[in-house]
Amino acid sequence: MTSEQIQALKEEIWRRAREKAEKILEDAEREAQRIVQEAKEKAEEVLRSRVEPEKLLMRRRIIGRAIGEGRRLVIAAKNELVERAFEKALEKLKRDAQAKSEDYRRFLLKAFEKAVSFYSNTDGDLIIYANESDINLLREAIGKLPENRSNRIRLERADILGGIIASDPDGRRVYYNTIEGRIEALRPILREKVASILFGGGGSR
Amino acid sequence: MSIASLLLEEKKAMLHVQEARKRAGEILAKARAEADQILKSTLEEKRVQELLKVFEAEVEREAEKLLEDYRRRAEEIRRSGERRLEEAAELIRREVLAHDI
Repeated sequence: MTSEQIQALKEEIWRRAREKAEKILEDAEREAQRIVQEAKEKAEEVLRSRVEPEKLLMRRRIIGRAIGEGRRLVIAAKNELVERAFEKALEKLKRDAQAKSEDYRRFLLKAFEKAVSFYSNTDGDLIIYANESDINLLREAIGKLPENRSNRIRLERADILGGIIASDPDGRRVYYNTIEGRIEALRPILREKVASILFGGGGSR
Repeated sequence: MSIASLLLEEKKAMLHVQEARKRAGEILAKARAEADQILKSTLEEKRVQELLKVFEAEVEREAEKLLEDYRRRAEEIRRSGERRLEEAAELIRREVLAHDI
C-alpha cells in the first residue's frame, strides 16, 4: 500500500468518524428538545387542571362582585331620581295649597264632602282638622250644608300641608285625607309610573 | 506510513465517536433534569399562587372596566332622568289631587 493510499484511508476513517459523531450529537440535541418540550406540555396540562377550577371561581367571584356593585349604583341612581320627583311634587303641592289653586280647592272640597259622607250615618258631632289657611274655605263649605248637619261640625287648626283629617269627638273613627297622607299612600303605586316617565319604561328597582 | 499508523488513526477516530456519545449522554441527562425541574416547579404551591395572582390582577382590571360602564350608565340615567323630572313631579301632583283615588 502506498503512503497516498494509506493517507486516503485515514481521511476516510476520520470523515466517517466525524459524520457519525455529528449524527450522534444531532440526535441527542433533537431528543433533548423533545424531552423538554414534552415536559413543558405536560406541565402546562398539569397546571391547567390544577389552576383552571380556581381561576373559574376567582373570575366568578370578582366579576360577580363588580356586577352586583354596578347594579346597586344603577338602582341607587334611579331611586335617587324617583325620590327627587316626589320631593319636587311635594313642593308643587305646597305651592298649590298656599296659593289655593283651582285643583287644590277641588281636592279640598271633595275631601270635605267625602268626610261628611263618611260620617253621614252617625248622629254625633264631627271635628274637621285643617291647615289654618283652609279654614275659611271649609267654613264656606259647611255653610252650604243643611243646618242640622252644619251646626254639628267643628273646625280645628292642624299643622298639615293641606287636605283634612276628620274625626268623631272621641277619636274612635278617623278619616285622613291630607296631602302628606295621600302622597305616602300613593307612593308605592306611583313609583312605577314615575319610573316609567323618568327611565322610559324601566322600573326603579 | 504503515498499517500500524492506520490502526492508530482508526483507534483515535473511535475515541472521537465515543467522546461524542459521552457528550450526547450528557445532553440527554441535562434535558431530563430540566424536564424534571419543569414538572416539579409546576406543582409548587408558590408558583400556582403566583399564576393565580397574575390572573386575579387581570380579572380585577376587567371588573373595574365593567364597574366603570355601570357608573357611566348611572350617570346617564341621572342626566336623562333630570330632564323628565318636571313631568314626573306633575304626574304625582295630579294623582295626589285627583278625587277618584
